[in-house]
Parts: sequence; C-alpha cells; structure tokens
Amino acid sequence: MHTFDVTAVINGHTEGLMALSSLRSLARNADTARLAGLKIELIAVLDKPDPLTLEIFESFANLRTDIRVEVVDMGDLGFARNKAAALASGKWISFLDADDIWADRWLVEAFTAAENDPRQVVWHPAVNVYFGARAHLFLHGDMDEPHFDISTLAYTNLWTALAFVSAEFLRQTPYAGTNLKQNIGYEDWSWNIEVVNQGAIHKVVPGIAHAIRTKSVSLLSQTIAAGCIAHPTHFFRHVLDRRAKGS
Amino acid sequence: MANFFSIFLKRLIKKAKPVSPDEELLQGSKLFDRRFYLKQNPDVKKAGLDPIKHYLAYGAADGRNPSENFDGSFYLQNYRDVALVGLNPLVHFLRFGQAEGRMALPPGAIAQQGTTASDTNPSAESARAIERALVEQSECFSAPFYLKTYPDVAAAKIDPLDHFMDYGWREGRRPQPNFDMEWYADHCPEVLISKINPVLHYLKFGKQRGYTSGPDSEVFEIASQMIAEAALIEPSILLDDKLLQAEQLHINYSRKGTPVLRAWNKLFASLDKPFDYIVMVPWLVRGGADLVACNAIVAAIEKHGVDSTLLLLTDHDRREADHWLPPGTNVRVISDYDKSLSRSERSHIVKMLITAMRPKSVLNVNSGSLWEATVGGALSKVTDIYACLFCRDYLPDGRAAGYSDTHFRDSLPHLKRVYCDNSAFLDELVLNYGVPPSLQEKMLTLHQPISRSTVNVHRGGPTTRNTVAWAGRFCAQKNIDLLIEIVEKGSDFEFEVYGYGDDDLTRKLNAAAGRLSNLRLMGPFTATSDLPFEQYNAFLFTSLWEGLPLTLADTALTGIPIVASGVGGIPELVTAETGWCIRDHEVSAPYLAALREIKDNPVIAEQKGDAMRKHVLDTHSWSQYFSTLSASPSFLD
Repeated sequence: MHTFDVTAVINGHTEGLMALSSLRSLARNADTARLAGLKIELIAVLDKPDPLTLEIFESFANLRTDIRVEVVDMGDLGFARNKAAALASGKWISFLDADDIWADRWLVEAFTAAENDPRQVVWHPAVNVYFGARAHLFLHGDMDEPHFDISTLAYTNLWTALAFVSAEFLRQTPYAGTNLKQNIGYEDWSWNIEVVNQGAIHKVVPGIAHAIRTKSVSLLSQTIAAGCIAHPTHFFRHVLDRRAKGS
Repeated sequence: MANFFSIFLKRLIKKAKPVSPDEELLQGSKLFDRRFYLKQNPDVKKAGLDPIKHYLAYGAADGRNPSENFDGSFYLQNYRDVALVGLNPLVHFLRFGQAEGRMALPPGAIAQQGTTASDTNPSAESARAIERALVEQSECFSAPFYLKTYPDVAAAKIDPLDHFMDYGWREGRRPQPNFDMEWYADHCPEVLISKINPVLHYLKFGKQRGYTSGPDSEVFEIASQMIAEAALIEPSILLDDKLLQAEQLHINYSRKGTPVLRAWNKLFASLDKPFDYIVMVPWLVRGGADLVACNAIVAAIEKHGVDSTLLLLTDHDRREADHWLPPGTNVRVISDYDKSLSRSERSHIVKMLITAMRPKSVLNVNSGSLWEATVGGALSKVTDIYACLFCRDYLPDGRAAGYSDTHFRDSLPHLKRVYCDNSAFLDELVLNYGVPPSLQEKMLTLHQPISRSTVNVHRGGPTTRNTVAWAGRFCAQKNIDLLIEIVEKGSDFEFEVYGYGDDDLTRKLNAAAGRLSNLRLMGPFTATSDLPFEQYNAFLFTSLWEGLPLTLADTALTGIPIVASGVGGIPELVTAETGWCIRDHEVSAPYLAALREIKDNPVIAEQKGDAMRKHVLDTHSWSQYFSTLSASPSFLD
C-alpha cells in the first residue's frame, strides 16, 4: 500500500520570484485533490538552486508545512526528476516546473484517468497555454488517436515533461542525463521516447490544461543552439526489427 | 540543326492522333489563344505546326504559355501535385483546377490585369466573386475575429474577407477560431501541397468528406479556463492581450503537417527493416563518385549481406545507374517523398533517419545533406560516419566550392575516417588546413577497383592512321577548350571524341567539328572500358582538376598509351614509367609532343602500356580495395 495516492513534485533551479506562482499552483492542486479525497504528498526538488530561489521555497515551506524541500546537486533536470521519484511515497507522481502552472483540477482529473485505465500510461494535459515570450496553444497528441504515427516522435517531442505517471514505472524508466557539450539534450523528449520503448503509451487527460511560461532564453533554446539530439535510443530500430519479423 | 529539329518535330506531331480529348478541350477554351501562341513562339509558326498540338506535346513542358491569361510555370510551381504527376497545367486547370479554386495567374498578375482565374472561365461571371460569396455565406469566416486577430489588416483598412481570399489563406491566417490551416492540411495534405485555399477546399469537398477544419471549440474553453485560473496566481498572464482571447492564439500541435514531417513519415513507413550500413549519395548518375558509392555498396553487401545495406539518394531524384548496383540492393530516394524539399530539410531527414535507425556506419559519397548534418557532431554520437573526398571542385568563376572546402574542416573531428581515391589530395588538405597528426590518422588513401580485371589488351592500334581517343563529360573540368586547341594544332592526328555534357561546350565542340576535319564527335558512351581502344593509338585526358578517375584506371588496364594532365591524383597512375603525365597541363604543346612520341616510338609506348597494366592490376584490384576498405576503423566494421 502506498502512503499517498499522488506525489506532486515541483522542480526548481533559478526561477527566483517566478517560483511563487508555481508553488501556489501546486498548493491549490493539493487542496483541490485532498477535498476530492486524495492523499497528496508535496515534494520540492531544488537542483543547484540560486539563493533567491532557495529562499522563496523555504519561505513557502515555512508557511505551508506539507511541502518537503530537498536540495540536490545534480545539474540535470532529468536526474532531479529521478531523485524525486526515489523520494516519492505516492502511487502516482506528477511534475510541475517552478515557472509553470497547473490547472486546479489537474491532479484530480489525471488521477481519475490513470486509475481507470489498466494500461501503463503516461498522462498529459490536453492543452498547454504558453505564456510569456511567445504566447500560443500547444495541443498534446494521444497515442490512441487513429492517425497517430510513431515516427513523428523522431521528428519532434510530442509531450511536455509535466506528466502524471506511475511512480514505480518512473523508477523503472528513469530519465537519462543530458550533456549539451556532447550534443545530447532534450531530457523530456528522450524520456518520452523511452516510455514508448518500454511498452507504455502517452495519453491526454481530456478537458484539462497547463500554463507554460516561455522565456526568450530557455533550456530548450540553449539545447537547440548546441545542435543537440535527444538521447540515443534503439526504440525506432526496434520498431523496424518488429516490422522485419512481421510482428 | 534548327531546320532538322523542326522537321523532326513536325513528323512527330503529325504522327499523333488527329484530335485528342485534350486538344478538343483546349480548342473550346479561351485560355488557349492560337494567335498569342504563334506570336510568342515564332519557331512553331515557322515550322507550320498546329499550336495546340505543339503546346500539348512540347510547349507546356518547355514552359511556354498558352495565352496571356494562363501562366503554366506559376501553376506548376504552386500546385506541386500537378507537377509531380506530370500533367499538362492548362488541361489540369480546365478539367479540375478551376473547380477546385486554383489560380491561373499569380496574384500580382491578377492585380495588374484585373484578371482572375475565374475571369478566364468564359462560362462563369466571376469565380472569385462566387468563391468569395461562398466563404462569406459559410460559417468559415468571421470578420470580427479576423480583424481582431490580425490588427495589420484592420490598420490597413482592407476588407477582411478580401484580404483573406487574396493573401490571408496563403499566409496561414485563420479565418475564424475553429478553422486552422495547419490542422486542415494535416487531415488533407493535398491542400498544402497544392496550395489551394483550404477554406474553399473544405466548403467544396472536405466538409462532405467529413474532414475537420480545426480543433474543437472545447480547446478554447479549456485554454480560457486555464488562463483564468492562472491569472489568480500569476497576474502577469493578463498583460498579454493575446491571452485575453484564447481563440486568437496560434495553435501548435504534435502532428503539425510540415513537408519535412510528411516526407519523414513516408520514408520511415517505407522501411521494412533496419539497416546497419548506409551509403548516402546526392543522386545516382553514371559518374565517378557514383561508381565509388556502388563499390562501397558491393563491398558492404559482400561482407554483411544485402539486408544490412541501404543506398540513400539524398539531394536529387536522378537515378540513372541502378545497373551498377548488385541485384536486390535496397535503395531509397528522399525526393520520392517530396521533390521540393530544401537542402536543410533533406539534411533534417538524414539526421532523423540516422538517429532513428542507428546504423553501425554511414558512408558519405558527396551527399550535401549528410555533410550538412555531420557538422556539429551530434550524429557521430549515434553512428560512425565515414566520408569520401576526391578533389577540389570549382565554381565557374574559379572559386573552390567542393565539400573539401565547405565542410571538411568542420566535419573531420566528427568523422571516423575520410577515404580519398588518391594520396595527393589528402596531402594537399593536410598542407592547406594544417591537419594535425591525430586527425591525419583518419585520412586514408583508398584506390578504387577497376570495373573488370580482364580486358582486351591494346596491341598498338591502327598502323595506317594516327588516331587519338578522348572520352568524358563536356564540362569546364575537362578543359574542352584545350582539347579543341590540341585538335587544331595536331593536324597530323585524327581525334575521336566520346561524350556528352553542357550545352555551351557541346555547341563549341560541334562548331569545332564543323571546321576541323580531324575532329569527329562520336556521341555518348556507357563506360570508358567499353570503348573500341584497338581503333586508337593513344588516349588523351585533359582535365583541369581530378581525383584519380576510375575511368582512367579502367582505360589504363587495356595498356593503350595514355597522355594525361598531371593534376590531382593522376600522377599516381600516369607516371614516366606508365605513360605521359603532362605537368604543364594547361597548354597544348606537351600533349602534342607526347602524342608524337607515341607515334614515333611504338616500342616505348608498348613498354609503358605493359608497365601500366601491371600497376593497375597491383593497385586497383578488388582484393586490394576490399582489404584497404576493411582496415579498421572501417565503414565495413
């Protein structure tokens, strides 16, 4: 038995004052979920935080004692998520980056969808509202859609990292590290591919959104500038192997 | 020639059926203007050809227009589905395009002439007006939404629907919240390929076929709810006007139908297994580099089997040398999935293929797309990349422009090995770029194998004539001007020239053949080794720059005396012992002196021929090639 239904994780780094909105979003989600009867664990994982970000988190944790702050020295967002998975006591785990915002019912709706699907599924919101530098909407795809073509995943990352997933699955399928100097980036894209490689699927939780802050300089833009590719994977080769075997 | 061509054409056209359905169609259309066509094309008039027959048989393919009111080039450029299947543009327009809302003239031409595609339809009062009304009366256009979403239109005080019909749809602007161009194109890719106004397509066809025109309006409700909730804890979100109306936000979605993605999806779908050894070439024509690629394919298949090996044509669709490939060779052509992709788009596809398939090694034989993808080094993390270089290449104005100048330095650290068919060029690169010893280790001379090991040995050629053969492509590299000068000054020889090539140089050679009685043009040849060498006393080679051309090695195997320019890797083959290597290669005198020495000293010529044969058999055998290529690290590892 799990102590919690859901471990809600907020990943911080150098977000500074921006983090407060995300912390509030995390708290609102926890409150909404608890009202719905869910047991929620809150963990903040700060990877090499700057002093301001650490102060913001510690201040928030002083007011809101249900959040546990862990400071790590990974220097890699994927590894920080793995650390959170290791610390999590919930059956499910969901991630929020410390500059983004969840819809208030995200945890409730994702939990409901996850509990009602017996398959190994990584859940994503149907809609992402990007705000900040480049406001737009990004609609997540669902692998159950009839026209879904898996080769598209070699072309682009199809899902953000703010997923809802079985904590056990995440511990079995950890994030791979990135190394921009070695042209290996996109920890979220790499993990999304690995999820499918492990036989799981990506689906959307209908009717729910996340708000994602965009900045003129981001980890993504740095990754693109470094000419990176996603972490090398054999997934697509396995797809071709299966074709060759006619399965 | 022109007269002959006209007569020939006339005969061809006369052989056609008297009146085909297409001819009938054009006869009944004002879009074919006989008077205009004959005025614009005096050659057709002079030849007494029927303009419609000529247009259908040749004119459209030549880019000639049937009237002022129809621009065939514009039509084919804009509607690539028509171009791809090779349909006559006007026939397509009259049969289908008109009804599908396609344009007969570019928008600029319409503005200038006050003419639209529909004006050209004699039976319609104005197709554009009808189409405009169709959109106006539909649920697909919202003027308030359009003006609010695109303030530039509002500021310009342009009628929003006119703007959308003339410009907006081409620019991907949404006519109303629930009609998204990219979304529609994703469901109906021919719209994007053909550049038809998606709204018109939807109203005329898509709606009946059950296509959706955009995301469900629920998307905007979800987004609006999210924005409202976020605003309570992140007030800055409301400072962005765009976020006040979720319907006005640009929509990105996972399956966005870009040409690259569509081509990639098709290429990946075409693969029935993974491949470990991939050779990438720009195209497959009958050139030296293509032969090098085919040799690598043969070696890979010999070592690892046909199922492990793939040849990918990356940059063009020309595929003229399949007969050089072993039976069953797996070949894919990126252009088969979209001819119009740019170099960077093709490079993207190459990158995806390698990262997805993760072959053990990839060999680049002049693939521009792969060279581009190699720079930066990311690909070398997923596969071992090998490359072939041959020699410098030059632009007409003399600037060096080959991959050795454009990509070599950036790529070398990320390459496992560089193969070159001659050592002279590798030495040149080391010297020019100061390549340090650690990287020099990657550079390997790989002599290419001759295409066959047994040939008819040259026995001295004819004794009654002094004949010289020249064979090659008529291009700047082959120094056709020098060849003509040698012919002019070598009146004691008969020159027979095999080949084909650039129009200008072909004309120049034709003119020379017209005035020089000792020059005969023999037409194209399939392989140098198939030439009738016994009919000649010597073989002449005049290139300005080269690697080590395999065709010359093939020729050398016959033992025919060779007089060749001493450029690139040629001095490694043609030495003082094996032939006549002309160091002062841009003037005619030393070539003529060598030819005269061959004529005057047949014994020396024979000795050199024998030495050449031995050299070629020693250094250009298949076993020698395979063994060198297999030296680890190897493309064949």
